[in-house]
Amino acid sequence: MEDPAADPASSAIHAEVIDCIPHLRAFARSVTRDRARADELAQEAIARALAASEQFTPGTNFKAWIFTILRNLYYNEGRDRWAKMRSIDDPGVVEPSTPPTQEASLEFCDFRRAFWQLGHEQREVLILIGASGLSYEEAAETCHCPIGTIKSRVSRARSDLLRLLAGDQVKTPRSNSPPVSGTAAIETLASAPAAHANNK
Amino acid sequence: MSQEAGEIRQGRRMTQDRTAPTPHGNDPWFDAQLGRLYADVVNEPLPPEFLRLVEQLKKVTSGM
Repeated sequence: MEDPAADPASSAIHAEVIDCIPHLRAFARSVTRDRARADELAQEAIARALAASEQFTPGTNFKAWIFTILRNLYYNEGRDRWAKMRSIDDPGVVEPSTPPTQEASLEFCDFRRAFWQLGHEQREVLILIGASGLSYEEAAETCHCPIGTIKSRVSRARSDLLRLLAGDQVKTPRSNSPPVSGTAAIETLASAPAAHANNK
Repeated sequence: MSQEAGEIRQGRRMTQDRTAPTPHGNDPWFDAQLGRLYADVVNEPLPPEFLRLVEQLKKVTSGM
């Protein structure tokens, strides 16, 4: 390892990575529903970022930069590597952090189910813009598309998600227990529901 | 069927008013749900493999 005193830039990158790890996991989870594979994806992105640290421009948004690396890994190296056929009853799939004992939590469960019915491109822009704090410009750079595309994708994703909530077109019924129940629904990232195919 | 009518039909009570999203999104309820989806993962305890990585990075950063 290099002496950080002789390489403050490297030290700064390491500090950025440490701060970014929770966000990287969250973004990875939004593109691949499988918890374990999302963490594998995040770790791989970190390794790539550290290996390519000289390519990062100090003063720019490190989170956007490493999100781009993760996204490139996911799409360029084959979604098959990171996606997996998983039933939503599988304990490895996303679970709620708190039991749905209140109306607000029940609404959140509905929201989460509807979110996972969106296509992966819609999920990622909602997370990039609506949750992780990236600007439209940064999200466009991360997704390698024009800003206008990002804006329309976000708008469409929000509308689609609200329509899903209003129509109750979720795959599993809401209940007062964690959503690991009822009919098993197999979902992969490669096979979005036909009704939302045009959103991908 | 309007969104509001659909919600009434489902017998679902919203804790906040939900307005139709503007092109840039202006729905506090929606943003709160999205934020929670993200924050739930951000606030998770780091798995052991990430904790080990953090320790390795901190050692390099601190010059140990």
